[in-house]
Amino acid sequence: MSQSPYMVQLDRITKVYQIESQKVEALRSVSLNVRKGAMVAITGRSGSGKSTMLHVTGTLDTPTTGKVILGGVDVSTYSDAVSSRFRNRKIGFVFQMNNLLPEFSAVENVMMPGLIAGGGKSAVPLRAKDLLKAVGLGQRLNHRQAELSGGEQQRVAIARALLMEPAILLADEPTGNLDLKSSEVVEELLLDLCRKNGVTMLLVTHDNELAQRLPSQVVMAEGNIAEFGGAW
Amino acid sequence: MLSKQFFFFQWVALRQLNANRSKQGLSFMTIISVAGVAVGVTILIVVLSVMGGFEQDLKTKMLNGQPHMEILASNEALGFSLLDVPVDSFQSKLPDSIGMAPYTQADVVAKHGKHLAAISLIGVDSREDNNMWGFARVLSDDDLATIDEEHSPLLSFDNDESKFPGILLGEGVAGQLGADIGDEVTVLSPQAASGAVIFSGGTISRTYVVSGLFSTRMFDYDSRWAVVRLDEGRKFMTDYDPSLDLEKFVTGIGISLNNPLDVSEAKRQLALGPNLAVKTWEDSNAALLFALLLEKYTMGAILMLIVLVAAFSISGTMMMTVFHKKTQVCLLRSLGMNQSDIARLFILQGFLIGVIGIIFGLLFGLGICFGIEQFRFIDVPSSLLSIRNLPVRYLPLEYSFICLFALILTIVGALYPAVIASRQNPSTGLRYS
Repeated sequence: MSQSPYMVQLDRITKVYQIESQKVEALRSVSLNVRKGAMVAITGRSGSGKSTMLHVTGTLDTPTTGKVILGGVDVSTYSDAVSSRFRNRKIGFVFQMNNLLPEFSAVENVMMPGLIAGGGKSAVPLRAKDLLKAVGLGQRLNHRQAELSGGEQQRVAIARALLMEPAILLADEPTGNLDLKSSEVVEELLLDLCRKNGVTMLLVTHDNELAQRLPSQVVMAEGNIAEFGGAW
Repeated sequence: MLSKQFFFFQWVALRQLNANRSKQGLSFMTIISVAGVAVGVTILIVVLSVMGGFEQDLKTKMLNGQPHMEILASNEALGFSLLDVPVDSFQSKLPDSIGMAPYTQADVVAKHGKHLAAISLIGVDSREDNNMWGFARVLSDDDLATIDEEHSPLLSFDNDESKFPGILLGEGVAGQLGADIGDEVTVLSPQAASGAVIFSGGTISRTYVVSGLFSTRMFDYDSRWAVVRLDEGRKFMTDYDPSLDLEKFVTGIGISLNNPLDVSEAKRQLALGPNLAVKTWEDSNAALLFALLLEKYTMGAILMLIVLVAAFSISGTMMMTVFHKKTQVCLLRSLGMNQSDIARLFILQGFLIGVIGIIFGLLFGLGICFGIEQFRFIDVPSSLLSIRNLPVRYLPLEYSFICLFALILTIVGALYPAVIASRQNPSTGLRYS
């Protein structure tokens, strides 16, 4: 990562999907600069391009045109292998649902990014256990997805997202599937851990209250940023 | 690092195969795939082992039936003189030989009453070690020596007290002729030259008395062979005249070897002159051996189709897995696995299905072979073959090929699903999960 003050820079990003004979413009020249350690809420109607922007930012998808610069490095030109390694080491993800691999226990799920990176035998499980303890699941290390509630699953996902000490955390409606009480716990945990670890976070949500709790907001409409809010 | 990553992928692949116990369909399909490979490998092992057993049995009979090697004249029918080519001259050249003896051989017609049979008349010296011949192995020395004696037929007319040399008949020949011990048999040589008739005073047709019967349990030998003493056999050689007796003419010298399977090495050691040739047991049975080999490989190739079907089943199962686990694949991509890693994961799953199937197939196959061998629960009708039970021969090299080929097929079966899985767009997969 370079000395650039920005952790995430999107430079005139467009994303066009070809669905049968029809072209769908999901992103229309989106530009966004997010400072290191900033926490940005992305809101907007369904189909406004929030998730697409998040996935393009997280190198899960490639932009049709434009540049994705993360930590000062243009990652939009990376090959699959390089961008996968970058994703593994620098980006953490928390999705709305199906966050966990059902065949693996909670601690194994958290260990997964470390194991993919070829991490040490003792260091990875140790850190995974510490993180699970930090999210309040120290007693549920060996429980599998089916044995965990929705809120607990999201907490495991947060622990896993933080295992590699990422510079960026991308959360796609992490509380969208949870009840109010669980949502509060997960929100609190997510914000607290990101603050503590100095992680730059982009969080997609439909929940305006949650969006307002974050220092910066972006409102998307029709594939572009319609409005900026909060401190930038 | 490489091995650590390998074990990691193996661990993930195994977990994914072992998982979904609640989703019975997928687990069931995985079991079917494993069973398909196992059944294919089992059948291949059992069939090839039994065929190998038959082949070995046949080879043993070939090796016990006729000389492992024969030294012949370049013109086989003419033969050569033992004065020019003494038997002793080959003993130093072949340290591996365990017996050498001269013989004559001629295709003749045997007649008994109204019955005729085309036979191969073998002339041997009963004082020599003739154990290279199947009939000598099943006859006692005394029985063999009966060909040296003169016998009166059991039935004679007009108080005829004529005596004739003895002849030993294969049971098949005796059956064709309707002859038994003590019967008179006339041997005619359609090959003898007209000169022989004029000069030899009746060599073309000679009468013998059946002095014994033999059964080598090889149909080809028992239905074709008749044995007389060496000088009698000589009389049926092409262009016979009495001078051939003085010059000790024979058709060839039969040699038995300590290690007959390495007959080509012994053949190389002999390095004969231009007027002599060597025929090995492999040359004599080339057509049969080739047919056996062809049968074995054809059977192997046909039965391998079962494994091919199993590979298709693996491919189908894994395609189901790819669609079933689309979200998980995309999740793994989001955690940092690249396309090659995903492909490797699915190929490993195919590999594991193959390995498990092959292990079960090997165990079942070898178990069945062991059962056939030890408990002899499959009887062969004794009227069909000389053996009572299915023979089994363990073929480690063939088993290795079966396992290797089955493994390659299962991996090939996993390739297409692996490519499809690796090419999934993680963003799309996660968005529509």
